Amino acid sequence: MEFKSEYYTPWSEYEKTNNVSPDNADVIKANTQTYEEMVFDFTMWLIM
Amino acid sequence: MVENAQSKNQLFIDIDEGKIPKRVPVYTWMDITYIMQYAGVDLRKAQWDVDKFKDMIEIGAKSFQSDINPATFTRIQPVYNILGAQNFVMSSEGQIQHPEITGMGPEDYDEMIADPYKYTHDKILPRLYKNLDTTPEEKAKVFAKAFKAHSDIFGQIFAHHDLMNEKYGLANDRVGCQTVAPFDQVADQFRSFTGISSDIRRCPDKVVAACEAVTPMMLKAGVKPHSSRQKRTFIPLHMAPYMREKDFEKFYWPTFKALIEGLWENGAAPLLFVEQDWTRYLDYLNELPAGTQMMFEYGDPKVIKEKVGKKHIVTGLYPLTLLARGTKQECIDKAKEIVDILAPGGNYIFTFDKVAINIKDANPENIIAVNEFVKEYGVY
Amino acid sequence: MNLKELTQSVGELEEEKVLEMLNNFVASNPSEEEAGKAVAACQEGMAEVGDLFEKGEYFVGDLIFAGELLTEAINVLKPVIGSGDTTKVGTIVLGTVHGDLHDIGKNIFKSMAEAAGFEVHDIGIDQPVQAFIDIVKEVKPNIVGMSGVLTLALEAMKDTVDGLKEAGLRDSVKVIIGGNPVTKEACLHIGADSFTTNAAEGVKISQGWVK
Repeated sequence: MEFKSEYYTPWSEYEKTNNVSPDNADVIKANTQTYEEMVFDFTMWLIM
Repeated sequence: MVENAQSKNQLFIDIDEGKIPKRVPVYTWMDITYIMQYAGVDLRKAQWDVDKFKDMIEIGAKSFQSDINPATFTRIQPVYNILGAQNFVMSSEGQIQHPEITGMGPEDYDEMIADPYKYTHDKILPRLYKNLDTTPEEKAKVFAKAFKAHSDIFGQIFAHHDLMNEKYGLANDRVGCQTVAPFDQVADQFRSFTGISSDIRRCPDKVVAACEAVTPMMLKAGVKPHSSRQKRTFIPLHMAPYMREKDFEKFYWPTFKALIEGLWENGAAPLLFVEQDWTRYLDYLNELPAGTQMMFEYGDPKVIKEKVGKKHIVTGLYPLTLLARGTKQECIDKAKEIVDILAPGGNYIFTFDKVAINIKDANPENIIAVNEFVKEYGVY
Repeated sequence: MNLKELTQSVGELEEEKVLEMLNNFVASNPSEEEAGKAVAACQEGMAEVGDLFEKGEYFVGDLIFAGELLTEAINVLKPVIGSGDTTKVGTIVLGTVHGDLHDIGKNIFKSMAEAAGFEVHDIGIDQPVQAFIDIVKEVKPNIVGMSGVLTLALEAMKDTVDGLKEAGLRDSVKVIIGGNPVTKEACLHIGADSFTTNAAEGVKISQGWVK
């Protein structure tokens, strides 16, 4: 049951489109993907 | 026995691990508006004053003899105001409520089903929040303002909660995030109660498909990095008691069950608020994965304990209305009656049947007396 | 048109069938008297819906749909009903009391009361005491219905009844309260004449008052 949307960028896709170097992937993920998730959480808060 | 945060946390951990705790844990929930009124501040002003939220959290922590801070924030007025909310509106008395509103017309099912999250941004949000119903540029600006406000305000709330738990030796907050049953999501904020009641007759296949389409989104909302048995996913249930069982079976149950199973598979533990009377559906609830916490509003405590209390954590069923008008002794007698039925064998946390939102809902002195009583009486 | 079948189809909430029957009926150019009978048959169907609700076979969602169905049915019949207002059995003022924004229960009661032949003046949600007083003065109803879902609505209902008393209007009306939190005790405390958590029962109580 995977969540997919045109408006949601999962990390795997972000990695590909933003030239994330594998060496720094962890730290980049923690400091970018977090905000995608926060927008998702906020959006859901607005409709609950 | 001197109790501190650790021993109080242990009560809940024991429950979550299926052990019998030292005593019945006491978990009172109050909307922050109740605490504001208790503190004697004007609701219509205090709900704007984020700085004062901290004082309210402290009052919640020290005043009510609950093992967990009762102060619960659900509706944040500054954020709703920035957005021009139509779905959460402050009443004349200052209570924020949810008027019936339609975010989605019946002709939009296919579009919503194709991509619920996109549809939410494109269509639902501008309908529910009028300040988002504007040019893309202005919309982005309003969204950014509201997002920042929400993030800042909740950041302050959570940090202060932790601080107060430490200061007053309380157990950790038990709710980590929230989600909603797929059918309730489609009904409450998208199609409205009235809309969905017609749709299940006029376009039943679309309703089923819509529930299925939103399920991954609802699952994602309910799983967070910190999700655990002690940091639960709160799910307020709504529509089932208003449906016929055959409709429930077809529209409500399959995706709701899938959601709950999905939560457990992903390391999240649900805390259901079983609103209204679910007596007709107790056997269904018993099918859910073991250890799901269920806060019941109505029903026969004996029947509920018997049918779901062996497998699940039962809470609730203490009538808040009694606390509003009963004498202290009547309130304590009722607590004894409920604890005698629900506590044996464990799997029980003492809560009221609903969240106190307005000071008229419950006399604070009665809350304190009942909570103190349960802590003493509910020793195993 | 088979009126019994119409009543039964409304009772079973068979929307397509009801609308088909009524459309055919209207196309046959019926007299006002025949149209009146069709309206009555629909109203009887609504009474059956109420009975099934009381028996626990229908639930609130079904009542809401029944209200929608009835509105549709009356809309189809409107061109042939004519203007003769013969079926009004009484007048009800209805509103959700101050502090409460809920209106689903109120709307169900409204559609069922209208189906039973009442003229209903719905003043909306979160209504102050004065709004009830003003409308009661204006339309002089038989009945005042107050609705609310939150526990705090009970106090607002009491304020409203007290307001009607002070305005000298209390004795000219019957007062019924409805909604999740109402109980016998609450009814006594508020000073209402009756209470219900069941819209169909509320309509029956109202009918009893205007007999």
